[in-house]
Amino acid sequence: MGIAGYLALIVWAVFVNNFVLSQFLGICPFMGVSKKVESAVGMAAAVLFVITMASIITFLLYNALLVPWNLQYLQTILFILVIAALVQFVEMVIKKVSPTLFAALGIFLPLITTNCAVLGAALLAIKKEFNFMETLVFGMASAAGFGLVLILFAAIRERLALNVATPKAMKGMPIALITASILSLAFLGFSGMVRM
Amino acid sequence: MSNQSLGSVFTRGLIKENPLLVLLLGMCPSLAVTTSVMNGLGMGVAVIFVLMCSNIVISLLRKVIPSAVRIPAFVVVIASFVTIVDMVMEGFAPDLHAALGVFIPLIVVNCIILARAEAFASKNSVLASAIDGLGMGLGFTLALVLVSAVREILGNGSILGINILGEGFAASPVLIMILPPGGFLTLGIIIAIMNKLRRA
Amino acid sequence: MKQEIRYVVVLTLISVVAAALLAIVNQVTADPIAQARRAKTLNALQKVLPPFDNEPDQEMIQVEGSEIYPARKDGKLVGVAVKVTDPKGYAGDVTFMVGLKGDPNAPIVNGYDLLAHKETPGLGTKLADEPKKPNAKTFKTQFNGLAFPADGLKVVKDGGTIDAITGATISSRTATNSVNKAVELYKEKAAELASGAAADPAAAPAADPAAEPAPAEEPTAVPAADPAAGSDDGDDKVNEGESPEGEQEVDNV
Repeated sequence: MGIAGYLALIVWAVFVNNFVLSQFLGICPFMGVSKKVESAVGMAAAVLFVITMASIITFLLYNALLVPWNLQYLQTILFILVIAALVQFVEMVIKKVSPTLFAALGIFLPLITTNCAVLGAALLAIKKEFNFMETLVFGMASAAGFGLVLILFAAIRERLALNVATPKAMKGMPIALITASILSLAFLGFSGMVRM
Repeated sequence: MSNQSLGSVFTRGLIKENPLLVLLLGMCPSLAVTTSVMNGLGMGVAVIFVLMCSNIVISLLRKVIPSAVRIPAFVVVIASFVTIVDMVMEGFAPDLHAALGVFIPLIVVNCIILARAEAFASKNSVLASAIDGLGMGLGFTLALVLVSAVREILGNGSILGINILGEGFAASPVLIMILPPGGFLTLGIIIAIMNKLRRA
Repeated sequence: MKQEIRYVVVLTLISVVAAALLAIVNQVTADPIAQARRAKTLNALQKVLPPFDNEPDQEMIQVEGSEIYPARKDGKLVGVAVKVTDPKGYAGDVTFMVGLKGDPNAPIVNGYDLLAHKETPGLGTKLADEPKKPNAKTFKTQFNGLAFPADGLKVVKDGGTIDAITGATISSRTATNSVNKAVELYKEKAAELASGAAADPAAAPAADPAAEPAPAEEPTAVPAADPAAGSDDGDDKVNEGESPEGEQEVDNV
């Protein structure tokens, strides 16, 4: 892939094939953390790091270990263990570097392990048979797309929380989902922009 | 926990603590695979299998696994059963396997399974854990079928592939329902209705 | 220290048991999986080819990114199915299995089967629509039994004869492009495909570089295409024995 190809890949991963709004990956943290813009930014950064590292490591392990030994069926177990270890590591680092961010993210940090976006990115890169560079760019761009939507959503929800007209049954998850549906509708406009 | 009747353990997962509609767990697959009732049902059955098997095994090993490494241990157990489901489906139900795609291996990160392992199976008997798995799995399946039914009827005019709203509708259905926005919309409204019913 | 060792031992044991279990299941399901994958191709071949009695996927010829499956009956080539992928779909690759029969220089399109795509539901997905009643028409029925024009197939918008799907011109173009490409490959590999039938001693292998056209319904193949006669193909019903079913065996041009 030349430079143009990589640019197209980035646009595709961020907008056309957005992890949250088109692929339905990463919904749980999306709904949970997006109530405040600050925690959304922190979460987006953490996820970006984890997805990037996870994509690289799983790619290397898959091609160096699983394929030569014909053990592709072990990919699910191997990948999820790698991700779990990575998240533990990130947790320790954040705790040392920024205890406030650590406190703000709280339970959601270990939950990055079960964030389908991370495992999803690793599996999708393998499925599409990307090479190393493509996997790296795909991972980072997808994470950026996740972060973008997360922050957008947090901004919307902050305003929404001030709105007292929301019916009681709609408060919380339902209104968040309906907002997401409108955002998803908007992103649907990107479909067909880039072919991958 | 152990003096709860098995009956209540079972029914809890169906309505009162329905994993998707009440506990709000497992939303990723719920939005992605519910474009048709067949897919929703297929995913539900796969989850029931994984949930029951992992609950049973984790309950069997609950006294052996040290607490500090319990999460990785649970994950290995769950991932094994997910891989089994993946391989069996590819061999014996290839169309369903292709339709569910990447969401089959993603069952491993379906928060429902890890949550039940942590909250119940690691602390209860094998029989109770199995029944808890069955109840939660069934509740999840019911919720999936509900969402898929709405999406398939409106977005395709059919249920399980059988046309029920006539040719005219089928030629020009509400396509948005089987696209991502429709998924969010349907789930949001169903959860709102559940909230209202539970408050009433 | 004792605790850490216990952790490692337990985790390793669980992992080893898990890996062993998976290896067993992998063995058990390897065959069904291979079968299932093969079945998908065979299913598509059944749909787009005239009746055959060989195993086309065992004789598959690879040409760059495409695959040609020769179908033979009684040792003679009765048609080919070509698996083509057009990258210019609305949202990415669209993969077709195109069925062709007749003289490679003026073939007849037997129809296509849509194998893989990412097109928009309700628009591009109409490429796969099957007719609900026997004589109903959909986009793909236009290709059944279609005589291939000399300058290729095009949608009406581009000056051709194929009616595109309303609102899905780009998706429709992938179908015409793919059929065009399939014909190109058929022509390119005609000699190789025909020579695959040389195992039959009754056939005269060297005489027909162009594959013998065998009208679908007839059980005996017709070694009619005489290269010297040019592209006026052997679809005149000269044959030993069987009377033709009166199918739409059209003379090209």
